[in-house]
Amino acid sequence: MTRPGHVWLDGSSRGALVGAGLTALLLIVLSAVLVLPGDRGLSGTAVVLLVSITLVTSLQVFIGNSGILSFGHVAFMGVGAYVTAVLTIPLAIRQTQLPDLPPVLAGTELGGLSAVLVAGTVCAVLGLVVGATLVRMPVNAVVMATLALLIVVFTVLLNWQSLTRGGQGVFGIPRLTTPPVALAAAILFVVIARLFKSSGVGLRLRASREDELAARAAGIDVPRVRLVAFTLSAGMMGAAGSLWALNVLAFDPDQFSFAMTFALLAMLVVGGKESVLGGVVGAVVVVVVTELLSRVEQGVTIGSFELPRITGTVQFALAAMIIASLIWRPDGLVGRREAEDMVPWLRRRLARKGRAVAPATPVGAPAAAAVREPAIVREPAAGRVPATAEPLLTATGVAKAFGGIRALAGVDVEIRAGEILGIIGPNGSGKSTLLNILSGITAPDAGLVTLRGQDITAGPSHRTARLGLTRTFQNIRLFDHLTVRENVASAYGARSAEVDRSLGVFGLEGLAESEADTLSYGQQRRLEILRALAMRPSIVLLDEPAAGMNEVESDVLMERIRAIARDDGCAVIIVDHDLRLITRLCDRIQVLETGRTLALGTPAAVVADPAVVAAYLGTGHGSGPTTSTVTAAGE
Amino acid sequence: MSIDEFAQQLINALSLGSIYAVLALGLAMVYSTLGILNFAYGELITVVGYTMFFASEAGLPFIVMATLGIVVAGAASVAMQAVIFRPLRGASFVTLLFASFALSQVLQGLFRQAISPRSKGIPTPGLFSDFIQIGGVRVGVLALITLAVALTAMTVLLVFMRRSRAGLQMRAAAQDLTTARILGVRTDRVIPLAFLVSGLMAGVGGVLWIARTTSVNPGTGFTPILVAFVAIVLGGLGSIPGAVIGAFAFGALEIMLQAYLPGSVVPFQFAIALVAVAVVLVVRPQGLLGHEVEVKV
Repeated sequence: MTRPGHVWLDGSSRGALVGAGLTALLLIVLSAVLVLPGDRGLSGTAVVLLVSITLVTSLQVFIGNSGILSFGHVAFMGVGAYVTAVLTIPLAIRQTQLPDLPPVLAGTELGGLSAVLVAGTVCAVLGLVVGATLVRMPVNAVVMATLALLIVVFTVLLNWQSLTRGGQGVFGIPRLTTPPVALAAAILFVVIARLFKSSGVGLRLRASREDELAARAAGIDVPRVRLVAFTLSAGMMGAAGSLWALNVLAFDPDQFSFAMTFALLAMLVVGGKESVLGGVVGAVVVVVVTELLSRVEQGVTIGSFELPRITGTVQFALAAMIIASLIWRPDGLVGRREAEDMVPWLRRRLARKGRAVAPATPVGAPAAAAVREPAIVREPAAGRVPATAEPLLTATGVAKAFGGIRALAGVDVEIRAGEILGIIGPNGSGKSTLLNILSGITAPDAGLVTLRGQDITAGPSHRTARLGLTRTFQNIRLFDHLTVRENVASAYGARSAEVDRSLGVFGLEGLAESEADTLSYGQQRRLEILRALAMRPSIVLLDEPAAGMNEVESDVLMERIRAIARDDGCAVIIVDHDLRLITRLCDRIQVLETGRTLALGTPAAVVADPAVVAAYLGTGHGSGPTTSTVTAAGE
Repeated sequence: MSIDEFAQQLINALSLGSIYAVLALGLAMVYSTLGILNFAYGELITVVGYTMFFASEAGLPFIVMATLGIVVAGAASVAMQAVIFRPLRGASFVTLLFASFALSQVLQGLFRQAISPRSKGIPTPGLFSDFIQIGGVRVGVLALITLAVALTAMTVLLVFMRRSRAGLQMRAAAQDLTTARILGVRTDRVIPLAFLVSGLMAGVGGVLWIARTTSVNPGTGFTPILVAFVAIVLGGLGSIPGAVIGAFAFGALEIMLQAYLPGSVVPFQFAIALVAVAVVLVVRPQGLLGHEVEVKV
């Protein structure tokens, strides 16, 4: 098979740059319209708008991709602005304003670019420190913690007199954010945001936004990708705050509190928080409305070299816009679309290019061959591992109680490479809990789980996945608003070159660019299995993969599962209620009842076990013709 | 510091903590029942303040002012539910948080435009500023009244939740709203009820808060809501006892910092308290009483 040639940009980054280019074009046109007439008020508005775009884009990098609301980012803007003030105010003015500055700061005067870079760096470091704490907390708690961050920083800015002059504010900052500088900065911020969004970290972060649990099970270290985004976003926010300071020239701590937070969040919500273009559009809408209203309110054209203070009317208008858009357009004006999605022919072109990278699946190949083809190429074709090999996965004495309910009361599991183990049992017998423990999602109260001799008892689930144990979920957990390709590519260790080919093997070619939630039920099941296999696991857990499938579909599925075990030497643990599938597919079956193993053995032995029959069909059936009774139940 | 001084600070800490606890309970009620974090909860405290202000202008006695404040807060909370949360039923946590954040900004704007951006003083009975001497300990009357009222309110809430049918339905809804609905709990009644109870707690907490600060301005609700947020995160999001413990812990932290910090650092007191909470959360990200729930997969 021919490998695709060296490509320095994969399809998604190319799309990102094209989209950023289109957005840049929009910004250039907008700026030209506002600046070229030579009206000072209008060109002031242009700078306000462009600086707002840098601010909202920085915020979007975190909120949009992680799905976590932050009230605290304005704190970084404030720090960036004050760092800039302290470094750029001419020394003579600085001495009278801030006589108690430490000598290093009192004697340094930086140019605009250096100040922006220093502000960005300081805030990135601060973001890293703060973020390291935040990302360990439950998501909903993070929101409140960011609010606390805002207050802490505000309090410090207000009270650290020697550095900030407190409530009196600082003045005399040179005007260095000219229209061309602001335009260049806005374009650069948009490019960074788009490249981040399409990068590996950005993709994994978006996956965690869609479904954190599934993201962890796909090997994604969720706190880490969140931390990366938080740090980047904080650094950008600091640099943007610096640009803002170099435009407003004088400010006090009050500017970095709720009014600003509110205006920036309004931009994101109104435009569309999951899209970089959305932030830009939201900034345009909010700045235009704010400018118009504040002119109406004041009756005169103000200099407007300052991001307009949110006066009463403006505040009402922003609130009305937020609430209206939440009710009628919850995804914002542009939704999840980016600039390139707005131009249909460009979208088609990009999609075609994306496909061309991967060789198409041979057309007309016999279905069986396609099924038999290893789902994902594994470097050393492992082949069938002899059944006498060491167990791959061993769980001993696994127990778990939730409150007073004992879900598992000491269960052992053992499976070898290439083996297919079925786990069956009535509802509440502990099947799901067992899978959750094996996959590191739930920590057991007692017991030990080892994978190739490594202790994986405590998870966490992304580590378990990376060590080679992956899974699917009973209630299909896909990343709904990511494309099919992204769903697979976001899995840890997935290789983009192989993703498209594997889509073909699973009958999902041609759907690569569709969002996962638009797929049919059967396609969603297949996609989820594919995502689990994309990590090239040595063992995969399938939780009711055949649920809701008809007989034909489940036959195809059975073939696929056999192929996974036979050709890849991958061990498979499968939980299902479909006894026909389980008995025909599995090498061994383990029956659970009320948290204990009731029976374990070959399908024939298990279905013949009177205890199993009793548990499954009720004791009323007694010791009748057990084998046929049980299989009949499945058929 | 002597034992007496410490006892005095301890009573102050308990008193402040009990206000925080009442406030946090009101917020936590709606969060644990409906999964909604009502950012505009702070504005309920502002509403209490303005109600008491206008009642005092009308010459009403303090006890009537306080009662009106509580009733109006309860009504305002139910109204918030009808105006903002009902149209957005089924929306995500973040969406509802955004919406309530917008609502809080609207209300603050309204207070500023319709009443005044400046603080309004609220007269409190002279008794509140008295002290009584118990042994070597000088205890503020207000601190004792606060503690008594707050503990009573919490007890009433506890009894209501444990003993009444409506309370049982709310606890069922908190466990699992969908299942509760299937089992015949009328969610169209439980939801406004949860907001009513939340509003009444905001009312009681608000009255105690106003009695302490003796003034109201458009931003009055901010500190209480922030503290309530911190308390429920510190206690463990979703845990009602956690919210109470978190509130008392934060109150104690604040009072002790006030008592022991050197003068030059006092302006940073609140910030330091928040950072201290952050340090606790580094060690226990799920909060003090945050507990494990079965993962639904």
